[in-house]
Amino acid sequence: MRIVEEPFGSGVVVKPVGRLDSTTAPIAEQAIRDAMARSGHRLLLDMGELDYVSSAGLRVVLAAAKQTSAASGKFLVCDLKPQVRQVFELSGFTRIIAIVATRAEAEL
Amino acid sequence: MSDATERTPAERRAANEEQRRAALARIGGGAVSVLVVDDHPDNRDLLKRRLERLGIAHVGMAVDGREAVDMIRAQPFDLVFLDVMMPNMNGYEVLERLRDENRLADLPVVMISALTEMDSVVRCIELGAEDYLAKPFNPTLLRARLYALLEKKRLRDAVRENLRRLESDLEAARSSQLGMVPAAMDPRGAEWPVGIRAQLEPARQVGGDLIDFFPLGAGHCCFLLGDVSGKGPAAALFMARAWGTLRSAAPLWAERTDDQAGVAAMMAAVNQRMSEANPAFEFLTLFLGVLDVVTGRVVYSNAGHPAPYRMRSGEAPLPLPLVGGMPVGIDERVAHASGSIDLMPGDRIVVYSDGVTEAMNTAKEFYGDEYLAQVLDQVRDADPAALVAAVRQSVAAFALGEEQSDDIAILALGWQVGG
Repeated sequence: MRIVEEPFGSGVVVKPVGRLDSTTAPIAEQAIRDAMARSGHRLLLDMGELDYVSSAGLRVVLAAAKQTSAASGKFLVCDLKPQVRQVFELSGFTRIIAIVATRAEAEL
Repeated sequence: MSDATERTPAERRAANEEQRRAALARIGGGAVSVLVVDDHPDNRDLLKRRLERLGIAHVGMAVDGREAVDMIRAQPFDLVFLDVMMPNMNGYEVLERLRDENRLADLPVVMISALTEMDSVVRCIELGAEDYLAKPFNPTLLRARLYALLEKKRLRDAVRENLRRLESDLEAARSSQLGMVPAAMDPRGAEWPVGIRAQLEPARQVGGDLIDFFPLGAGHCCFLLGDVSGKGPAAALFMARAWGTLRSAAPLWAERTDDQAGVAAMMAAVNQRMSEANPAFEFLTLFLGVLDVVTGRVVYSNAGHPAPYRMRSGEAPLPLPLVGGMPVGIDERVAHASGSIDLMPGDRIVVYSDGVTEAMNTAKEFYGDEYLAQVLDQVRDADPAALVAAVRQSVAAFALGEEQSDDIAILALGWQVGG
């Protein structure tokens, strides 16, 4: 797992590359937590290069959504690959996570 | 400047003594026991006295290699000082013997040798000795080697002990977790024409997959299979909590207005309780089904779990339509819908966790939903036990050579099978 992070609008964009599963989830969770602390809980999660998300990965996304919401921040997810979108749909995450098609459509 | 730091001999002795005490405390104080092996009585006695002065309470002595090996087999030592040239059994042979008996990992050996015998020291290090000490002994070097090796050994012992304790704790947790899964349910004549087989296999000692089944009154059978986000001890605790919550929600069934409402009420109770006090944002995908043992109707709710299959003789496996809602534990306000499917005599239902479909082979390909459908299609007529076995074996064959990366749970239910 490689994680790219850069400023974006009034917050940051975090882009995990590879697989988000139970092995890599703790790394991604820490990176997202750090990014939230630095950005005042304004975060875009770019999934454009994420090939696979397991339930442990979904938990990381859910934690980010709940924590930003508790801190009155903003959390968006963009650019889901078809197989990742399927996981989001099956688990009902498309209904609770704010998802935009591409980074260009995201506003922070 | 230098005047201020200059110390009197008495002060230096006091500082040395302080250092010695601190070092001794670090290595375990007076409980340490050391073995000195040397065929020269003078060397043995000198080393023993020096070691005792350094605070080592138990110093054993052996006159040759054979006696040393016997003593090491009979009682535990923390460190051995070993001479090379000795009658009966020399230092090389002692090292070889200890190595063959797998004792060198726990027992540091320091070779005693003259500085002119550097080649033999090298050979001893290659055979597994930790260090060497030149004759005649320099007290400062002796102290430094002694304390460094004993401290290293103590740390190594502590790591090993912690690991052993952790493993035994996890092993106890594993058997406790596997004990939550009922072994099987067998049909009992026309009154209870339901058979269930299940298999739960955590990827690590404990896991987050959940299987349970039990009668609801005289006419219904509840069966469920869930999967907690993540694995290992944290997931296992969440799983155990979900298991207890589900069991305690079962009495709601008796208060239902109809079966659909009964399933929905159980789901709502579990979702609400699992959403509370959930600081790590864990969640559980869950399939919960209730079979009417008389009519064969299964009422179910699927909270984000992979769709189970209905198996019917002569037909392709049919995935159960997705009716339900989000995984359990995310939002206490969401309600879960329930659906139903009518079984015919001989029908079976197979429920599984994504540890099956997301098993990977050595080429990093997923087992996949389609492959599971194919595997099930080849065992259309199998009974519950054979269905569980067929799925489990297909995963094992597919993932041959790869470590099991996720918990695997499989449940198969049969209604009026063979009757």
